[in-house]
Amino acid sequence: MPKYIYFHCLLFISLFFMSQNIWAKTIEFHLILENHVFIPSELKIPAYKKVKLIIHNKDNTAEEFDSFDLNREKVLFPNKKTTIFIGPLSSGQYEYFGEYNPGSARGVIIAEVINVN
Amino acid sequence: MLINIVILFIKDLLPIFILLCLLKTCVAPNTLSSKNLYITLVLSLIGIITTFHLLPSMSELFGGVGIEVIQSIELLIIYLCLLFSSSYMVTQDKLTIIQSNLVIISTVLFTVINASQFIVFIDSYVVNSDSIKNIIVGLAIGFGICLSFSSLLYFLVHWLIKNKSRFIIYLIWALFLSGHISQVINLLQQVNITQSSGALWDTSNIVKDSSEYGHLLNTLFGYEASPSYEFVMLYALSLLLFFGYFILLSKRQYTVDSSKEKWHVL
Repeated sequence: MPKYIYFHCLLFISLFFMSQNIWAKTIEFHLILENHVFIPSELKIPAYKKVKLIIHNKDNTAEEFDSFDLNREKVLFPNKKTTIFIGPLSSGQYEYFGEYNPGSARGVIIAEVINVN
Repeated sequence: MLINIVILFIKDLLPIFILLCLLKTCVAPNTLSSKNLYITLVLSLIGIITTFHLLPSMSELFGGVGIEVIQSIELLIIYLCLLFSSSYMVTQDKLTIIQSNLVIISTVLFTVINASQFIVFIDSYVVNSDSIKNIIVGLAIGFGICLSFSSLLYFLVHWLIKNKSRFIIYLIWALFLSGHISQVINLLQQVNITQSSGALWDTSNIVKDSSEYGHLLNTLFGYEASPSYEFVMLYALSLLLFFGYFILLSKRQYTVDSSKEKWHVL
């Protein structure tokens, strides 16, 4: 019997922390991929905060959002919106690119401490 | 664009070549017979085609985190199956039927995860590209590099086996498995299922993630120039589990060997 109680307590605690994590309010930023170009190419976000990045791929082909600086990699399916969470980041510039069209699909995320809209 | 095809080929498909090479040389040499390889190939092809068609719908599952959740579960299954099936490395006994089947299942899953992403790229590139020549040349170069690298690894592992450098082989296999299971953290962090505490250190000035060595080390051992605390913890935990299991196997093998010796004496 005590084993079940421990198990349920553990399950409850993990679900509680997961739910806190999943539904915690984060600031949203939007990126658009059109004609294999990310718009805007420079995106300013607050430093030391977790940010939700919503990327809308308006092209008719898939692309892969890739960033070595951010450790993020996600396929953007044609005409669909994709969400990626980034940060908390220290102040600085973080490059990203479209892996299938690295020549044109490029951009930079700038994490700043102040003056962020 | 040619170089892009080569880079993606190496990034997505080299891990499959390395896995097959390690399985064939030291982990499960008896399992990968031509019949089993044929089964693995057919199942992988079915899996890749199915996943390629289902990927857009998968991405919308669980509120847009479907691919990450499914891939994380698959990576966990691969790690556990391959770890459980690594007993040959210690005991040198033929794998059981269950272990052989687990090796096949994990190889199929591993191939599907890596190759389906490459097929998405090829599909996207074929739609945009005017000439098919670039694709064929890129695929040929990528295939050549992967084949050459896995051949070199094949001979290196055989040389290590001959020299009885068991620990180095264990280490290569342990780092390969840990490198791939640790990717779960990056997948879950990017969809906010696990916390991200920022980079623990940064070795970009030594080996950049984007460099050729960075790609290679990432494929071999899951190298990351700026890993998060959670990534390092999972990496360490999986290494601990691996060596714990191997110590357990070695102790059991020692007991079996000593009881056999006693029987011989009697």
